[in-house]
Amino acid sequence: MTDPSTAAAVAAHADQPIGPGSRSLWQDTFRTLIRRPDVIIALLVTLFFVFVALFPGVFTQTDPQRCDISVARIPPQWFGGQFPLGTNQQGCDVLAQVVHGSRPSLLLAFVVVGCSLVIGLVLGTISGFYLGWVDMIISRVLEIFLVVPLLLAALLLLSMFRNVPIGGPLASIVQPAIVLTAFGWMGYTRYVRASVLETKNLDYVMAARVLGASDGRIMFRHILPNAIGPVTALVPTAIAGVIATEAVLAFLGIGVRRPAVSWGIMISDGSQWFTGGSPHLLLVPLTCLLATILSFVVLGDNLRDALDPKLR
Amino acid sequence: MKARSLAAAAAALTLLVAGCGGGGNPGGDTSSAGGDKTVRLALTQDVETLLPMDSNVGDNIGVLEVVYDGLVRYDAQSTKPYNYIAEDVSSTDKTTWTIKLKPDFTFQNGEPVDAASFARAWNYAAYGPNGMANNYFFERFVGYDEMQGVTEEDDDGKITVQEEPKAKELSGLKVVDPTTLTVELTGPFVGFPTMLGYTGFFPIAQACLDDIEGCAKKPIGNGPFQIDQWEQGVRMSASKWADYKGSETPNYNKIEWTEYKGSSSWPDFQAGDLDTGAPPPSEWQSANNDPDLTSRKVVRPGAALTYIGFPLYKGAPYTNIEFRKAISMAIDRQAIIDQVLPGQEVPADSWVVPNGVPGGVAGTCADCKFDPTAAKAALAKAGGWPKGQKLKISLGQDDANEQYFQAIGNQIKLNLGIDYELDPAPDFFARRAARKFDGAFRNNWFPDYPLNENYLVGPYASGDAKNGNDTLGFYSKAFEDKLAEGDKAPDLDTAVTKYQEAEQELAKEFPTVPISFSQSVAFYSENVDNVVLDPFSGSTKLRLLNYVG
Repeated sequence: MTDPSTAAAVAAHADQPIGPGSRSLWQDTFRTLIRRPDVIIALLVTLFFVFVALFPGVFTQTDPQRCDISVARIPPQWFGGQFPLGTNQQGCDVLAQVVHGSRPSLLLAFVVVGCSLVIGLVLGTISGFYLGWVDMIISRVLEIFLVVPLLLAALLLLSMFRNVPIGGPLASIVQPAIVLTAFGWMGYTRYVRASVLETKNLDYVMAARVLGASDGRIMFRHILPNAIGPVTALVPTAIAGVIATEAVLAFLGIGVRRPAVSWGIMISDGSQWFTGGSPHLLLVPLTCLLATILSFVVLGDNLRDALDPKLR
Repeated sequence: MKARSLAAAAAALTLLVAGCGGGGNPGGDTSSAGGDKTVRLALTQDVETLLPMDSNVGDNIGVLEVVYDGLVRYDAQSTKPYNYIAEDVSSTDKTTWTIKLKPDFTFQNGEPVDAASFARAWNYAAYGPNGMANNYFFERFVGYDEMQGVTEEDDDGKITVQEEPKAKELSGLKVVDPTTLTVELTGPFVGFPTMLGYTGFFPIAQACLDDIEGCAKKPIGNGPFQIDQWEQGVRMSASKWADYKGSETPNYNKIEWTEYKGSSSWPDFQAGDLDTGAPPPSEWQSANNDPDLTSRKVVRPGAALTYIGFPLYKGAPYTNIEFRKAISMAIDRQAIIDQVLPGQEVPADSWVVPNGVPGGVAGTCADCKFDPTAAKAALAKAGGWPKGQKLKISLGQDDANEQYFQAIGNQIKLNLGIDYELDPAPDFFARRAARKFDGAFRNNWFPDYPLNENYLVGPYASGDAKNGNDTLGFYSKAFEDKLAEGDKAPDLDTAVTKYQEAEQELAKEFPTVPISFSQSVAFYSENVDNVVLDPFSGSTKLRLLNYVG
């Protein structure tokens, strides 16, 4: 599938012996990444926080919503104390909050990026493959969404629908997820469209067409696997972006719905106490947020370097 | 290149700031010395009107206090009323009252402040379709019911009349001559003269009635100050009215209000741009430890009661008195206040503020003490809380109150095991009036005039045994009987005692849970002194404020 000459060039550059049935792009990328210590560290940090989000019970037995105001704003007691990371203004355990708060933050990021990616892949492939009026409609709609500033749209929509009751397990993140997805799919669509345009004129696509393959088969079996590379590199960076945006929205009071706790909400609540005698209320969630964002960005950067041969 | 453009931007910013400073204080230094004594204050409630008949929150009441003169004014310390525009308010049977006015007072547009000017304001306020916030103050007047009709208010505050009222004027209100007014009440009410200093009883000029909307933005007052300009939501300015004939007028000649959201005015106070301010909870400790700031600080017990109401119209478990008592005993009021609103509230154990108004005593609410064990027992006695359900706590949108009620909800969860959900909504008041709550909800009451009766009639009395009162669905015959006895009392002292007995009846029924009384705190700048806080609203008494510049 992969153009053998490119694969060979890539392999040569990476000082690999050129074997006959050369490895796929993905295997190659993986080998490049696994050798870099910063990637390993970033990966470990990321996996750690994903693990925290999936299994909060491993790290704390305390209910984050169980708050006793008579023990409010206790500084961190570290290991051995009842409140290892102290308590906040309402008397809630900060460790429990930061552990349980990772889930809405990360879930929102994965949901938004996942949905945007799917939308981007479908629309980008269709518009790049068919061109003509399909492409025109998709491109114009895309431009309309592109000119609206994300923060303005989020402010407007989220404050308008703030009081709409929503049920279900995802209730706390549904609204920001919808809004952030609605204004986040355009980049992926453009990237995919450009890659599809590039790929669809290659010889093997032509060969498949001559052999009588259907449009759907050509698109999803032949073009897409080769066009997906550059978009994949966007994903970790985009996840970092959504986590940061959630913090901004929480600061404006329109992010993840209370009483659910997210890192953004914790930062927004804790910031006013930074100079008020309880800096840990800001520092704890901020450290988690920064560590997560940083590791996703490092992953994204390296993934892009590895996936995009032109950048080498 | 980059450095240069940055420097240019900085220069432009400096110019801009300098320009702003110059523009905000026109001719500050060049005008005659001592001629520009300006007091700079903050408004935080986003008020929409300055019409006396429609003003019922602290901010517009505070502004109108210097723009209008009422029949009586209240002593800042004792809260006792004394005659101001009124020469005399008297009655032989406490039902028909004769109000004599001092002659020669005028409005700022030259119209006389006469009996007719009071009558037109009161008739306007009492007319139901006008939708005035102070409408209910005229309930005791003969002819009030005929003026209400049937109206419906939608979410935007627009009023549609479904049935025209039968009368356009209060039949119990008569203008005898330009300085005499008689008022006939539906029954005896010895506290009537005490009511008359409230904002809702101020007079208005005919020109104001002809252009109500203009008057709501730029009132034509009869007090020592007139509003120059009001850029709604941004700022307001007032200057001294040169022809003011009254005796109570402050020594400065300009007031500038700036509008803020919540407690965001504190940085501007610290920067010296405001003359009074109060810190948000996070700055509370550092502000109170600062010897320079605390040398210019006043504290005064306020009178606003924050309490939790229940939709008694929804039935169980809210109608169960043990359930309400359980909620009350589960809340550690002092601990919450220390963390969330330190120094700005004091725990409440009565429905009428103790010592703040005549008849108010502490301790009428025996179950307002924090006692988690007794609370659990009371909840068990009430039959418990339905499993898996959340107690909704509704309130308006306001950061400080959300934190306050989050802490209250946490206490209920911690001590009773009832999970809660906070429901801050912008249309809180409309929903409360429409009885659309399904759960506990925040209430706040500060008295409009100094009498314990005011804490009891407004929030609880209705005379409607079937449906109960508007917001709660509460009715108690024993309670209403005691109120009626108080109204018929021969003198104010007896009345106050009867109203106290009514409060005890209320305590037996326990319809609501008192949480805390406000405590007003203000820091002030070096430009002013003699800062006296209003015992009711907690705002600065502008007529007593002294400019020392």
